[in-house]
Amino acid sequence: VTTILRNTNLDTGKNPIQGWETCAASAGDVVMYTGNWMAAYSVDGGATFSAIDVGAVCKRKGQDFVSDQIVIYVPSIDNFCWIIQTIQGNYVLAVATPDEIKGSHGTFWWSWLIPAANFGVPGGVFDYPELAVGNSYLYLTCNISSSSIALRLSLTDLRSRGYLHFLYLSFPVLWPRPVHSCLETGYIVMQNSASSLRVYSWPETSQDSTYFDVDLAWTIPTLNFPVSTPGGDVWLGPTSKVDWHLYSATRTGSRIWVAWNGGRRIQGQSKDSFNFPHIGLAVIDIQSRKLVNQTAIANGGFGFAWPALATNAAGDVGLSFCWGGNQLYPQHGVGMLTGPGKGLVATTSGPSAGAGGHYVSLRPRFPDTSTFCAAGFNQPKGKDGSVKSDPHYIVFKA
Amino acid sequence: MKRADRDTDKAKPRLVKPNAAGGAEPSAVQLPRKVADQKAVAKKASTSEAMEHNAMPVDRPVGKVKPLRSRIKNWSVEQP
Repeated sequence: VTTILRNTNLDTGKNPIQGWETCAASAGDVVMYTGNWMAAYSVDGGATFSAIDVGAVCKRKGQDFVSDQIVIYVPSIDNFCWIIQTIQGNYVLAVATPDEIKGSHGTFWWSWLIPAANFGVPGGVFDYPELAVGNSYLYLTCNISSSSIALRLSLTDLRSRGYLHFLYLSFPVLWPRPVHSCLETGYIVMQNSASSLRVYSWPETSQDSTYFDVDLAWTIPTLNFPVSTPGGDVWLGPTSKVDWHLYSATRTGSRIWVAWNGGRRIQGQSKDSFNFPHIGLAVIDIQSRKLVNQTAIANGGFGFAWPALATNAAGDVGLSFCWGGNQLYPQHGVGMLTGPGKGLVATTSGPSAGAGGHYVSLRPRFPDTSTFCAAGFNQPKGKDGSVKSDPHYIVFKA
Repeated sequence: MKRADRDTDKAKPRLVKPNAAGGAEPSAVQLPRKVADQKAVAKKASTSEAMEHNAMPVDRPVGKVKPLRSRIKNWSVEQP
């Protein structure tokens, strides 16, 4: 079964930090943790965290930070890479080594401004970033107004703190996701529709990319997400931004696993396909360019949502996710989808008004990549009805 | 075109050229040790424009509808 090695609630202790839309990455004892309106670091393996001034990182580039942030650790250059979305609709990319974070108490970073105006969309603004790492490049995907891009950045230039060249692919659809653990070829996955996926393949030795399409075996249920909770709240309601777009993708061997949120009903059908919302999964073989499997993480008595995938050293696929509703309070959880530890475990508990959102993360944990580090959050509800957001940092193994 | 031909055609890789978008110079950043209230900082900067570019687009295509015919197993969640 999945074994939890650490589960830290950042909203506890001497310097509690609240946050949501969470993301975490770790290298040895150093952990970076980001969320909406917060960033924090740890130098004791995630036992305790201290806040970082995100606003000051952006100010150095003439920007004001607003919300979405993503962090990832790149072992081949021994750097954390941190993307911060600004109110101006641009991104600030900041990097630091674990030693720099430790030595400077999280105060010393190198940064670059990535202006949305450079990417061919008049008046375009960036949104919904994600990072993934290949052998030689860092991949950033994001929406830019009503289209999207995948930008690849040289790891060599990032390590040397050099001039960064912006080479990118543009897409006419929203919500592309870069594939984690992609190795020698960058892969970017997106939806043509609720019935078809598109996979871009961008070899690191080539400027050019190719794409192919994969039909899904059954249409993603795009309708009817909201779930009531025991506390009288609505989880996955209209203000939660829940949607059926892709949330995460990871490579293991010649296969890419892709995950999204699914509702109860397929558009055009008269009956629900699921009792509650679920996490949809597709497995694509990149050599045959075929769908290998399509399934769902579902239960007849409660819902699942907000998936994040990653691959460990054994090639097994892990999941960070949220679940609950109906008779259960919404919570965060982690688990394994393949391998000897296959199974799901809760990481939060108690009365909660909600859990998860656009950002629930999962990363291999370095240097022991048989383990994962995850970030997730729930929203504990007090007896007086007050709701807060508790970010959790979790380390687990199969 | 026969169905089998269409399927083969769909899986055939299509070439896409990337675009260049300039680049950026790095700069070093020294942050204060004393961290301001980040929620207040972000809220001060927030405008209706920020809310606008977080809005969800609607009406994306569903494609050719295929119903779910296979049985999906129940996943449980262990609560330690």
